[in-house]
Amino acid sequence: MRQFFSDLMHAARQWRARPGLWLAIVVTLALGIGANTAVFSVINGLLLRPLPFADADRLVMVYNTYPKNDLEFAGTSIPDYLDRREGAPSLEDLAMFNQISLNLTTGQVPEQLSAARVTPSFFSVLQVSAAYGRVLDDADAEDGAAPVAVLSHGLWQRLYGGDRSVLGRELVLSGRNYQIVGVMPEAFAFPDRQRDLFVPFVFTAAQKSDEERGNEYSMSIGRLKPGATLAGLNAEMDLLVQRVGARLPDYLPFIESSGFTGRAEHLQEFFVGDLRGLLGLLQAATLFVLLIAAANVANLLLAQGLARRREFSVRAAMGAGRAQLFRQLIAESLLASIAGAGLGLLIAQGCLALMDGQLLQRMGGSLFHTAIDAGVLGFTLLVSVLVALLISILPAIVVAGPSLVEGLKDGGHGTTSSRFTRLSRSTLVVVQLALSVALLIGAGLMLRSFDRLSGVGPGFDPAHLYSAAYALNGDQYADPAARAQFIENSLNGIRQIPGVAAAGMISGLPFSPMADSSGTFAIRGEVYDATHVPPHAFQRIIDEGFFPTSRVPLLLGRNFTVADSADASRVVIIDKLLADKHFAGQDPLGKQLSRGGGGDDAQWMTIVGVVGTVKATELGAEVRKETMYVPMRQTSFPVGSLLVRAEMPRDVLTTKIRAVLKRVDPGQPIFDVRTMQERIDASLGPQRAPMQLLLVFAGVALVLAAVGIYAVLAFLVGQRAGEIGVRMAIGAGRGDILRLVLRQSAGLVGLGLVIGVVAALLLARVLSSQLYGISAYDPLTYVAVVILLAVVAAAASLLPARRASHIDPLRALRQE
Amino acid sequence: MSSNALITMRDIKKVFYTDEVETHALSGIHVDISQGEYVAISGPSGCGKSTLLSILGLLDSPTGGEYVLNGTPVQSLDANQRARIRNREIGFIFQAFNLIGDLSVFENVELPLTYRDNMNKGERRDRAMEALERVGMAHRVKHFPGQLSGGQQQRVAVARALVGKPSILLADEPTGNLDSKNGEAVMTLLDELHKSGSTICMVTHDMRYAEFAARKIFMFDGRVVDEETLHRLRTEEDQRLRQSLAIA
Repeated sequence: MRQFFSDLMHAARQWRARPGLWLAIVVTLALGIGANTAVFSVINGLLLRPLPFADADRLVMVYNTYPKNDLEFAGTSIPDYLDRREGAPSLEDLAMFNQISLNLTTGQVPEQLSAARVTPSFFSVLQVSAAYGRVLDDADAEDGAAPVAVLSHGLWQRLYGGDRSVLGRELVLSGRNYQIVGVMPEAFAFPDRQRDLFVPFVFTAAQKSDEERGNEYSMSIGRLKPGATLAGLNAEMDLLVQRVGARLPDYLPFIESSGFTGRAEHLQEFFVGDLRGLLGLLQAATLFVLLIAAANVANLLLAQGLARRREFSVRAAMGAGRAQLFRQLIAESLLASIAGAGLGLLIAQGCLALMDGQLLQRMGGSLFHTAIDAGVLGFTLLVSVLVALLISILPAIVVAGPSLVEGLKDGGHGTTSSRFTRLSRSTLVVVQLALSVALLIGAGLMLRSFDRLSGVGPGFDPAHLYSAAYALNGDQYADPAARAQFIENSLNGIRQIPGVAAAGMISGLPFSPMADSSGTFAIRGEVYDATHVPPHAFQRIIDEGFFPTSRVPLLLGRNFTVADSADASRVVIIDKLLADKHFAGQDPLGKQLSRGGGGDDAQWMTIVGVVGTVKATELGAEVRKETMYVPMRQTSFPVGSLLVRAEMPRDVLTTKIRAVLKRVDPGQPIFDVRTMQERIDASLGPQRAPMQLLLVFAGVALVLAAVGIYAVLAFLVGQRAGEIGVRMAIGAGRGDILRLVLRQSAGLVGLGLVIGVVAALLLARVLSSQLYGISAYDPLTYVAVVILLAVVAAAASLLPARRASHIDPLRALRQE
Repeated sequence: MSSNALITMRDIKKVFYTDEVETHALSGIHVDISQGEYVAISGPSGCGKSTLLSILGLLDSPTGGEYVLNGTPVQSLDANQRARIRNREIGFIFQAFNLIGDLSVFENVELPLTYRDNMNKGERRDRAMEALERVGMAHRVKHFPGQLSGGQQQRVAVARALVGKPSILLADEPTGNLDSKNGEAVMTLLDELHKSGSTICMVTHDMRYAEFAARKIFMFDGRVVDEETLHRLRTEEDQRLRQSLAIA
């Protein structure tokens, strides 16, 4: 160990004598190691590190599924939750929660608070306690109990400055008094850090009845008993559904036709399982970058090794064994590699900021952390050591190889070693180029895919289109007419704002968390047998201003009008997909639909218009579910969004809208003010982040490959200076020498390109699942990458080639 | 200037500048070499004979003076024009052979022809084989330089110098890296070439080999001198050296 420390000290002296080379090697390795560290940090944060709960591997998300309706995930209804809590022996406990908005009106501007409405078991399932006071108990959730709330640490700090005497105080939210009974720990965040407070999920008797089945607006989280399995729990839920079917014969046909049952998934897998493929792809890409960087550094060290051959030969002559010589080289490489890792950690931080911002927001926010922790540091250290070994092998063969006597005699110009070095360096360049081609093709495909995706129309015109959410959950809005009046007054006021072109409202705004709002419907006159799968559609409530404001095209019939009131006959507008699916070859106008089933109590709505199909949540996803629009005067829902088309800055518009709403209802806030383009862009985050990272990695690879080509040609020109002098002496002109070097470069580049393209073709299948609207074998991308690399390689070759053509033959011959 | 002069040099000067030191390597050289002549340039180390040969071979340019090769003034040609003339008019034989290790014997000999336009592969092959046969190396065409002895390598180098049918062969200490037996063989080969009509200009410090040439040019301190003057100057220099050592 002392000897190795001595080697390290000697290595430090070596590097101090060559600071330029040292810096080049450290930066090159930092790029490769940094990229790997960044992606591994994400993999560690999302897939490897346990969630911040006790025995987190026993936590499961429980949800309903309707596979025959193409609805894999559907939340949970209250009766389903009760069935499972009492009837699934695999579960130690089960909780149910959803999200509600509550209005706080203590300040100048009414504020929207985001609350988690939870069953008291929520805390026992997660095994968390309050930092101060207590969490919710069963008595809090009894029907008629006085409202209580547990504050998040963030809200407690913001509203009360961390005052512990807050316990027992009352907080007025949406017109109701909530007594504060506890404050959660600062680290606690579930389902995400946006929850300001936790209030009890109170079940009424009606909500516990079978009538409530199908109202699946809540989520369930459970804790498995020790030793229990997902398969066991799934089987128990299948059995519970069968029991419900046996007990409710009217419900049984639907259960059978939709394939309805309950399913459970480990919490971590539920949130991030679908990222496995993407993260694997990114890790592979960074591995490519690391190998390219290592090849580059090995190339530099080879040249360095050749220059130091006499030094090592002298050491050998004085009794140093091969192991000792190799250890010296390892020490030098390790010193460079560790320094590269240090710089790489900074690069990794930059990459993480990019991924955190775009990729992880979708993943439940603070449930996952991508910090560089001890595990990541260990990984980085391991990579550094492996890289140090990798880059030491070739120089070791050259300087401590079998022909040390040759090194003593000629200081490293022996033909055997230089031939080996030439071959090694050329091979390294070919490997770099091949890896770069594969990486660039991958990045190119992702870029083209993203370009295609960005070019997809959402079905409306997002330019200058703002949205602002509202939640009318105060007692004064219990009456649907009051809600309609609020919306009508607000929109009338907004339309008067100078610069506002149009305004409207919608519930279940596309590209918002509410966009999934959907349900079954029936078509009048259609007779189904028991096995028929009932149609399912997105159901949106809109006013007559929505279509003109969003510019969703009206294809047939008419838009809603103020005449479509609660007293008027019920009407509905459908999208083109619904028309094509259910009224192909017919005129849909005049046909009737009802929400839910088509039984005796069905409220039939007449189709008065057909509009274009709108993307709901993702630009890249094909719209498979139809949409029906109903007028807000006939159907009401307390939560929705105002849509405003205006060419003015967001702050100005927000202030003006708030002023209008203050006149309509001073206690009613708006929140989540964003442009529709921002919503669409945010939805593309999971595609954009890996594409951007791949582009960065590919750019690094391109630069490293160019440097590699330059370095190897410069080396070869140096090695062949004598030969070039001879060639010039016997009549070769500058053009001949230029062509000679470029031809040599072309040979290496050509081989690298061919191998790279073949590798890319073999890897294409892995990438295809991440692409949209473009084949993994897209010829344009392949050709463009080959041309790009050929041009870059030509540019990198030109300088050494020009230098070769300007060699003074006399001087070269003298050296020879 | 004689009517059949292949090379005419008038008042050729070569000055090297290093930092503030000005070194006169050649100080007004006048040389004529006629077609078919065999000339040896001799002199002590550092007298400027290799510099003169480099200028003769268009590897270097004179600082001053006039140089006419085969009727063409060459002192003001650019690099590419000089390369073209080197390729057609001059054949080099180096002390260290300077064969290219990665090329076979045949490829080494063929190399000068590859820099000529409008010469097809068949013609190149025929001429390379002809040159190799002249030097007795046709049986080693597929060998690489590393597989040959020094004498064989030099014969291949001579074949390479001959293959382009140059106006003159320039040999720079052609026996310097060879033992006496191989040295003799190479000198015999050059003698045969001269007898068959080749013009040869050889630089050597070895007076035994200089005797092979029909004409000898002696150089001392960057100037051409006759043999008697060379002897006198060397004696004077030796005396000066002895005196300085005695004073020291």
